[in-house]
Amino acid sequence: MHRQQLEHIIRAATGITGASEFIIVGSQAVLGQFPQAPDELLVSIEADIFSLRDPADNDLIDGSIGEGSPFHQTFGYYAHGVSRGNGGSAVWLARTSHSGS
Amino acid sequence: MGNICEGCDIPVVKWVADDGFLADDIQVKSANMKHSETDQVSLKLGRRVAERLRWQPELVAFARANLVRWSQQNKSAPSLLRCYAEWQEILARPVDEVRDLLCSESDDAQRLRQNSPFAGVLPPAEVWEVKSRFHHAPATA
Repeated sequence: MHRQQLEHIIRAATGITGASEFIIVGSQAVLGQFPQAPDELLVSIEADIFSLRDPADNDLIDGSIGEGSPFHQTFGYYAHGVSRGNGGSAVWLARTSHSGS
Repeated sequence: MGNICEGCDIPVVKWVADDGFLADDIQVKSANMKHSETDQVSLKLGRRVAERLRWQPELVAFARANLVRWSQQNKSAPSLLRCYAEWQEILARPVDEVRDLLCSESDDAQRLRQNSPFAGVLPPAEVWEVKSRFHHAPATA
């Protein structure tokens, strides 16, 4: 996916959870630093993300806009809810805000 | 990307930290699951789709329609188009081969299942039930 699709996922996750900060991990995290990253690095329709606010947000993300969800069927890409735990990975922080805030 | 949200309530995404800033602080695992359990969820979903394909081979056309629509919607994202094209080729094969791939535990099948075009075949409640079972399963050593 590209940054446009990843930002769509983050906005959707904000709407579902109410959280405003998300960590992007795995291969799609490269889009945080390199919005125009080579396609070869982005050959996936899923993005691994989690909210910093509440671990329960991640199940909500996985269930609502994850694999096999109506979001996946509608848009052709999806989020994979992840959480803090074992195993390091490339990460990037995305913060969402509403206009005027 | 500019602010497309002026005058509306859609949140703006700001990218505020790099991996160097966070790498020491943040570690992750998949949705409270071991990495292999993440793959098991995809496998379980794939097997349920494969079972439906046995009696409803027309679901291949459903998946093909998903790919056509997704390709139109995401035509500015070549990396997504590559994922979709790979599945277009797979869906041209006999349905039993597609079913086998959905049930296979090979690395390549696992990779392909993560890009599955069969989204929407299983009702959301069934997908949620499969995920919940794995998310809340007792951890094993």
